[in-house]
Amino acid sequence: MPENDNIAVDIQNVTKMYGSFTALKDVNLDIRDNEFFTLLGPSGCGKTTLLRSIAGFEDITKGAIVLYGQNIANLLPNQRPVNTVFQQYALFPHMNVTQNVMFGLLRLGQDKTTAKARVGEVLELVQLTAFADRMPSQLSGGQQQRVALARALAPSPKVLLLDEPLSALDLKLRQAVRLELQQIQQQTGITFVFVTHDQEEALTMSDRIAVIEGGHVQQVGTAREIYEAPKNKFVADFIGETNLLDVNVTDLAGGKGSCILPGGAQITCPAADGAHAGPGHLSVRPERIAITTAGEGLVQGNASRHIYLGTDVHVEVTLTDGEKVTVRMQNSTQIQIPEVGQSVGLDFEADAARLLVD
Amino acid sequence: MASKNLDLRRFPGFLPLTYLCLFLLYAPLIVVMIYSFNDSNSITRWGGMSLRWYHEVFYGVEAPKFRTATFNSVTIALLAATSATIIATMAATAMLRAGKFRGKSASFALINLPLMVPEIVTAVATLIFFSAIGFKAGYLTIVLAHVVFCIPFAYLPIAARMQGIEDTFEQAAQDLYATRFQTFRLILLPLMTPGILSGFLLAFIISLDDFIITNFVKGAGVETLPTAIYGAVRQGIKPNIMAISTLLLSVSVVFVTLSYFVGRMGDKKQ
Amino acid sequence: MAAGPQPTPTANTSTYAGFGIPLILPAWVIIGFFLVVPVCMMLIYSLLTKEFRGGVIWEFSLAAYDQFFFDRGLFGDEPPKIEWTYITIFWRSIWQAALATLFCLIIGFPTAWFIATRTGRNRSIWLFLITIPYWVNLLIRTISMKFLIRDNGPMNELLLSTGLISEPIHIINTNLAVQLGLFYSYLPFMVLPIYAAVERYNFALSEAAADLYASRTVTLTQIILPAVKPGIIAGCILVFVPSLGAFLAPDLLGGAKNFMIGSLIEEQFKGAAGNWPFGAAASMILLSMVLVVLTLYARQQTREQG
Repeated sequence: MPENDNIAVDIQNVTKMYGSFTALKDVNLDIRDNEFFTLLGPSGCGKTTLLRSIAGFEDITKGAIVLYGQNIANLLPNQRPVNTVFQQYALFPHMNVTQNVMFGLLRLGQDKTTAKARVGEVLELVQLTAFADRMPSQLSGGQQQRVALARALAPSPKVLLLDEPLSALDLKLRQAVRLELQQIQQQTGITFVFVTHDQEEALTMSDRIAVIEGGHVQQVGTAREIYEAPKNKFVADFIGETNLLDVNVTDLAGGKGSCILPGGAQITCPAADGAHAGPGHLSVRPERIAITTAGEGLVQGNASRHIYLGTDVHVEVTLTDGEKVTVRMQNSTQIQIPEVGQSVGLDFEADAARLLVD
Repeated sequence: MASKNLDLRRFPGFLPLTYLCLFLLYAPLIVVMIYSFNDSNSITRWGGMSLRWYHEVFYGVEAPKFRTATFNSVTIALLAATSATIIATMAATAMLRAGKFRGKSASFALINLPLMVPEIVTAVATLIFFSAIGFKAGYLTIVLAHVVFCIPFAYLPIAARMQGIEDTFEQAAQDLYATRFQTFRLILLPLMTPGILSGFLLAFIISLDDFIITNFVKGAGVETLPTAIYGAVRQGIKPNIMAISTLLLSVSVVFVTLSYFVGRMGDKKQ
Repeated sequence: MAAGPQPTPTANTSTYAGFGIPLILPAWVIIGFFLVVPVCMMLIYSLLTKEFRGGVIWEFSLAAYDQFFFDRGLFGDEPPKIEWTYITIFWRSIWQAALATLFCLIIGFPTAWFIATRTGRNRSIWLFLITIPYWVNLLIRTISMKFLIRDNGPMNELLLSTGLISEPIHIINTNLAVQLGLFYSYLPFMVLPIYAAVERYNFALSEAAADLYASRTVTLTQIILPAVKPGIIAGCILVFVPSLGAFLAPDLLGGAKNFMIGSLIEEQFKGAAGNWPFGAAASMILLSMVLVVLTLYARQQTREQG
């Protein structure tokens, strides 16, 4: 966790264009010292472009990238005190593990003895001491990834950039490595900038997350903030699952607004910043809705489908106006799951819902 | 399932044609090899097995001529192949790893130009050129002419190899504070070694084998092995020619095999 | 190693940006100075006057081209008639090169297909076998072909001894001999591009065709051939162009009656009978023909990719 408000990477008004295509549009981000910061978004959203801009492999069209007070936007990659863990690891195939990890240290001018000692330290950190003399082709995917991590950590960079490093690993391994990465970040105190499209990864690992889409930063916040108080339809929809009802927003005041639900009931609930009166969306997560008897609750409908997920059952309810709502029910013996075709009522707390704009 | 795939790949008659092709390619060479051991003065009658023609090649009347010619051929090939490989490596780096620069598309045409101009045209043009500037035809003119047509041959395997190397390795090196020269020396060059060796061997053989261009630009004083053989053949095929041919043939095969395994070596490393 | 679900954005291949020009310079110097300039010199020489013992007099003259196309009689003062001798030679060379290309295609395509449809190590071994003869010196290969097909050579000896023929088959110094020589010289140039194209061919297309009731022949002509056409065309060009200017095959196998462009040009630079400007002119004409073919090819390539 960041202990101070020192800004490690200050991304100021960064725009990146490839010819006529704009990959990054006026991006502003503060990444704090000692933070595990994640750039999250679907493929093509610009998150990797942003990461590579920090590393120096992309030249930005406009703006500044300030690293601990110094604008590095015009420096070559080998002049920036940041190191990268590449998505496909990029381990030098003609060097063994020790030589790979030692590479950056030697380029910085360290002598072989000091460098080797440091290599030993870092290999211990990633638990690969026994593999010091192996060639990359002799390592498993998970081991290669750790070597890539060790190689990037060895020169003690100010910021460590990780480009979807877990995407090539299978699920079980991924979950184990997630934990390890978090521990290493806490142990070393280095600022991590992590790129992923996997929201579960982002939610579990990060101190703060920046949700990116179409080259814009949609929202920055902790996992809880992003999940429970999404700013717009994209974030609400991209993170976890949500139900979006088309409603007309009225009476905006003090962070809350009113709308009329299908069936006529009116509720007042929290509104996202930037919400305005007029057509908008009401967002309610499936796990915040309760199924009651028909006639009771805020809206009425028919259970139209079951989706069996083992621990949960998702019940799809078609409302009176035709919209479909998904309700999460725990698959336990005490809870009665409505039959398909059965009339039901849906109830939820007003504070669990949120008024959004696009 | 597997047999269905096999069916779609098989066409009746293709296999016999392939065998015919192989037969047509190897028959003349095998015949020459066999007859090089012919113990008979006439090349048409078979007289039993003998090494006498090989003996004649190395110790006979014409041996010194062929020895000098071989020496010339080998040294010229070494010089030309080395120069061509260096130039081709630099060119490949420029074409594949240096982004855009003025004249890049023209450069691509230039590198391939020696392959597109018919050999005889190149031969005539080079002869005229050296004559026009008054450069005496001889050993040096041969080397210079050879470097030109060796460049595209060295370039091909080098460029192919370089294209197969992802540039993430070089990015990682720069990420780890290597200068571009260090990146080239420590990362790109080692990874390219099989391609460079392949290119060198290719250029070497091409230079060794060249006849037409060499014949035009060599002037009267110098002979390379192919021109010496041609001169001898003009007077009629004698058995010692077949012995030399067999020797040269074997050398070529050895070189090709070497080049092939060198190339494979690189694949295993990755 | 499984690839990640999201591909990395196209990495720039400009690690050494800024060094492009110094790196490419040596190639420009060597090829520019020792090929481009010489070809220009050749053009100039074709427009000069011939010197009687080889070489030139630096005096502008169109005599070389004139001699090529026109016949002005014994003393050079008759009204010009078309001189067919040299045009015939060129035409015959085109014809020979085309036939050789066809020959290579008929044998080369099935061979390339066969090799490309082998699996694993077999494929490498077949490729190896096909390319080894190519690495033998062209001169040696042509000599061995000559040796083989001579009137009293091993081939005829074998056929005579088995009684299949009663008289030796006379191949040497015929068109067929030259054909065989050209085929022998350039076959791998046909096989390798076709092989590359077939290797890239997606066999799911054949499966789809079969699924839709196509016979093997239909699949070959309507699905496979169009798909591998670029390889076929590349192979044809790679055989046709060198065959056009070939020297060794017609010289050693064709004899006097099968004079081709290569022999004609070579003759101009040998000793006292030579006519340098004429040789240069003939070379220029050959070069122009080749450039036309290559330009057409390049244009067709860009049209297809555009």
